[in-house]
Amino acid sequence: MLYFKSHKTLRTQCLSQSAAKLSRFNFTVNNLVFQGSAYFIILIFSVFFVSCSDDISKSKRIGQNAVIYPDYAGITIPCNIAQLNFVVKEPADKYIAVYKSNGHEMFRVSSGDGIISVPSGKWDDLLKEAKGQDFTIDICINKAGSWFKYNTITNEISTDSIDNYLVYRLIAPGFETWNKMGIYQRNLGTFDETPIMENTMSGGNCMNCHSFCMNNSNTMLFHMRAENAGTYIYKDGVIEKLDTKTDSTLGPGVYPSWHPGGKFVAFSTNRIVQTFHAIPDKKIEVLDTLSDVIVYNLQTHGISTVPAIASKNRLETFPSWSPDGKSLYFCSAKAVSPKEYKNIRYDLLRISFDPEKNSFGSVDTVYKAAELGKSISFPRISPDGKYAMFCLSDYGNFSIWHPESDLYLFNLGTKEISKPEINSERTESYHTWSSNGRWLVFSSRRLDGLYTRPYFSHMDNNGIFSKPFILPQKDPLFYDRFLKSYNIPELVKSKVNLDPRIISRELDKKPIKVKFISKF
Amino acid sequence: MQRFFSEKIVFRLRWIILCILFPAFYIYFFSFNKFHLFYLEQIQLFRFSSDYFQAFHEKPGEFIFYLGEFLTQFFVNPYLGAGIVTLVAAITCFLSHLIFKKLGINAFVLCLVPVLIIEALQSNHLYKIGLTIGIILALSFAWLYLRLTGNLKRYIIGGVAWFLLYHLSGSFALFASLLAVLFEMLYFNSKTKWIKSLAIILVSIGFPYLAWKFFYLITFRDAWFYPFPFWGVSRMPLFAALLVYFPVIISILSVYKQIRKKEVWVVPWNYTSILIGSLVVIVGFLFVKTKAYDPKIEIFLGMDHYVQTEDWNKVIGLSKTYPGTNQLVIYYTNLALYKTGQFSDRMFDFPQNGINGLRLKWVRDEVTPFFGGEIFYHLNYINEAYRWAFESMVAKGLNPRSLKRLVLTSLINRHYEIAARYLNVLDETMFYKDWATQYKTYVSDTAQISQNKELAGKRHFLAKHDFISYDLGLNELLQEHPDNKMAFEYQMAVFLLNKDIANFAANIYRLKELGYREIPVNYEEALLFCMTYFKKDLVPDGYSIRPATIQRKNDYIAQISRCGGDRERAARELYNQFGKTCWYYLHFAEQTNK
Repeated sequence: MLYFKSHKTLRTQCLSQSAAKLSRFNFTVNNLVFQGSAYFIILIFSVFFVSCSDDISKSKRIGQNAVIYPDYAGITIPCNIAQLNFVVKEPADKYIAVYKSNGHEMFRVSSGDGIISVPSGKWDDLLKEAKGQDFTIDICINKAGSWFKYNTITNEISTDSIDNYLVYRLIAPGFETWNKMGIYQRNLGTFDETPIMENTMSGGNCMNCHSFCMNNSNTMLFHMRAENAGTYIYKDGVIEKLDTKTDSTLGPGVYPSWHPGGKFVAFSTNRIVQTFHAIPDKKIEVLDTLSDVIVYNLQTHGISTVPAIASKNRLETFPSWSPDGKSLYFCSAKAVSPKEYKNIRYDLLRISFDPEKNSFGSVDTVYKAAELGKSISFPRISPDGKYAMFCLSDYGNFSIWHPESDLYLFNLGTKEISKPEINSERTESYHTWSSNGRWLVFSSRRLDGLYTRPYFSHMDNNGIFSKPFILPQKDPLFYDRFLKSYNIPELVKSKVNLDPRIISRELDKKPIKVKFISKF
Repeated sequence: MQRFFSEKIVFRLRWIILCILFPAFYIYFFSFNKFHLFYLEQIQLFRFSSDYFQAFHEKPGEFIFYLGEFLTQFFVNPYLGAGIVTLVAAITCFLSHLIFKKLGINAFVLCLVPVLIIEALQSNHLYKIGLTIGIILALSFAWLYLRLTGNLKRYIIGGVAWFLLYHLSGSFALFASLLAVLFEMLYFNSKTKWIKSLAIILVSIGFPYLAWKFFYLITFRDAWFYPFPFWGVSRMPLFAALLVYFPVIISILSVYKQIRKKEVWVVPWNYTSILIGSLVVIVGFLFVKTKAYDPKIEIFLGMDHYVQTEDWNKVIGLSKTYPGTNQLVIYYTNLALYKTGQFSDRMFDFPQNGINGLRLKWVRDEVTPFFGGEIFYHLNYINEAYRWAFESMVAKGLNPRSLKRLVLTSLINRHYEIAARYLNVLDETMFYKDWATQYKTYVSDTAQISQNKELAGKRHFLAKHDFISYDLGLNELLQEHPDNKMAFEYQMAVFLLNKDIANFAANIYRLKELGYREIPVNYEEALLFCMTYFKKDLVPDGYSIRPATIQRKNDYIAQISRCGGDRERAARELYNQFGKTCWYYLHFAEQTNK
């Protein structure tokens, strides 16, 4: 077991070693003078040391929880996450955070401004040492020479690791305009963020809908708009540029979902209207006037659909394959006039699919949200196929602009629905399961109601979620100044071997025009 | 025989010319370009933060804009703004002088030509001072290169300096390379000059390729040409003149010097050269003033400045000086007329352009949201004011105007955490830090907002019932808050400008509930028109139409009758006397966009 000595112990040791070295340095001509100087220096250092020592053992207990930001108290974290730096939001002259595992002090971090930045090496040791166990943080503050100690923070390090990378789009949460945007990947074990694509390399166009097949970084797609319009499919090191718009479909495919076999991608294709609200707590309304689900076959470059997922009197959207590839889940609402947009409510439906025969079967309704006055968006099936996680809002499908949107867990076996304790009073929206099904990353606007941030939560064997925590940053105050949203957080197992240089080589290529095949 | 001046006189003359030229340069920018310097300050946000600094190192050539924005933040003060522009031009002049002198070219006027080009460029409100800094960095490199006479020293120090220059100024390093090649060929003139020149060319062309391939995430074109302003919205072909000037002059004069086999090429100081030099400077100034300078833009940007400072009478004053018509000018004029309580009395004293003069129609570009959001804030349509400010911040990049508006609208909407985000950014600036500190008190103690007249006043008008926004949303704003006087006057203006007299007449009753003491002149005129048209008394109870207005109407009818049915003649003859009446607009103005 690694054991880090406290600052006091280390300092004492160092000072005595220094004194010994200095004392041995007595072979010079000015032996006496030098010895005297050495003892003088020791004296000065000792005085300094005593006056500045961080003796928190006699701290007075405050009996309160320290306000820390981001809120990393009472959480479960993966065993491969980067250090959770935070700031203690209490006025004080000095701050010390003592990290303990099994009752032993692992290390302590002191700070003059409340920012607790954990050295990566020490953090890694903590993750190894306390894997599968709790660790504690004692926060002590010094006010006017006296130390005070807050209630101990207890966090758990899960044995369940999280996928190594998080892929997201960084974009200003604007209304119609954009400027610089890009799709980035963040190593969750460090603070390294690298771009997969930035629009500075492609004429400032919009890009969206990055998607992966079963959290696999080798199978990805995303869309580019404007001059370089097309769907870029990256599979096994090869990029294909597609034009998914056909005369028989409403427009290009959006909201993709990869079939687990990697041979099909289900898309939604829509006609979208955007309007703006007048009351303070609502801003944008994005609604579909027409919407169908289509399926793209990567081998034939063909698009197909069936009436059950592309009916005229209903709006079908947000396709999501089951992990076994035998069902396609999607949201469906009765088509009404855009003026009655508050009456557009989506249910969760499922259609069976035979991947070997490439054929769809019957449709059944999984969850009738509309009957309850709610609307479903972004259904995502857990990797074990037991659960569907989706957003429920009052109406519509663009949940990111619905403050009432919350995440719900639907047990596909028992048909029970539950509202996990991960929601806030503000928007919760896009979410992804980790490949092992133990972690969920989701978008939340809980910090300020506008800028979307990724939060992680652990699900145990009983489907209970732990308190969510925000994506850690090196600077804990990062989110206070960062004026972009983390859009579509997707967990992937390993680094995506793409960068803007590689993708920009494909920009000028003529896209493959996909064909519309009416039936499978 | 030309008479040459003595060294002492030449020295004095040089200083006299500089002492005339640069103060004139300063006065030109202080007097004629004051508002466009203000505008430049309004579209940047220099921040003292490491994140902001790092962003200028992601791409070669970005750093000059970091320095440029550092300087531009001082444009908030017109004295400093003109002073900085002048200083930057003076540095360019001085560096040109040093380089020419080192090359043995002694021609004072040649150092002044770049100043004139910079003056012309800086007269364009889209020109960023960072580009001049790029020139200064490149010329500094050139001067350093010339001073390094030892070969090894020159190639080691010059090489390191060049790579640094490429990182800082991008394509300006290639401009510097061109100068370096000329120096090798014409100044150092060694036996191996061809090899050295070839090496410089290969490095200069090859390194950007490597930079594109391995070091920076930039496009292929940007690796060599960023940030030269020859593409995109702010294209400036004149900038090419500045870039071409140095190599052309150096080549011509160095070749000339070699042909004449002279160590130094001196333009003699005599009456002829002074006359020619003066002519060059005067013609340059005239070119700048007539070709590069757009007084119309300066007037509009002046109006924009006074809208921000809420000096509404100055907005109207500048509007009167604007030659012709411009939608932005009409839009600001109408706003200023309302803010000074004259809108419904004098709207037709100024050019109108249908409802396009009341608001800017939404266009997804950099300009429209920047200027167009103003009306929504004053109309108390807070969600739209927020939206337009946000779009402006995204499209134009972080700028103080949009951020301040986002803070105010967020505070009004009780979105304190969002307001705090924007305040955190403003807190990192030099000139908006105090403002941010002041408004942070509203975030930490929200009860204080009720003591802020502006914020509390606008909160009163917040919509309680949702509606979907179309255009100015005047009808919905009035439904929500019938006491929204500006929404009422703008709605009546929409009716009049659209010649929708039925709806005008149907809404005139609101005068009473809004507390008007008398009927505004434009409404009186429109009412008289309506009463004639609908043949009934439409004057609200408790109000009357001024006798002067009735007399004017009688005169108008008498004159129009004299023209018989000739509409064109009537329009011509009535213009002088009645061109500023509602009647004239209703009769003769082309109905524009509804």
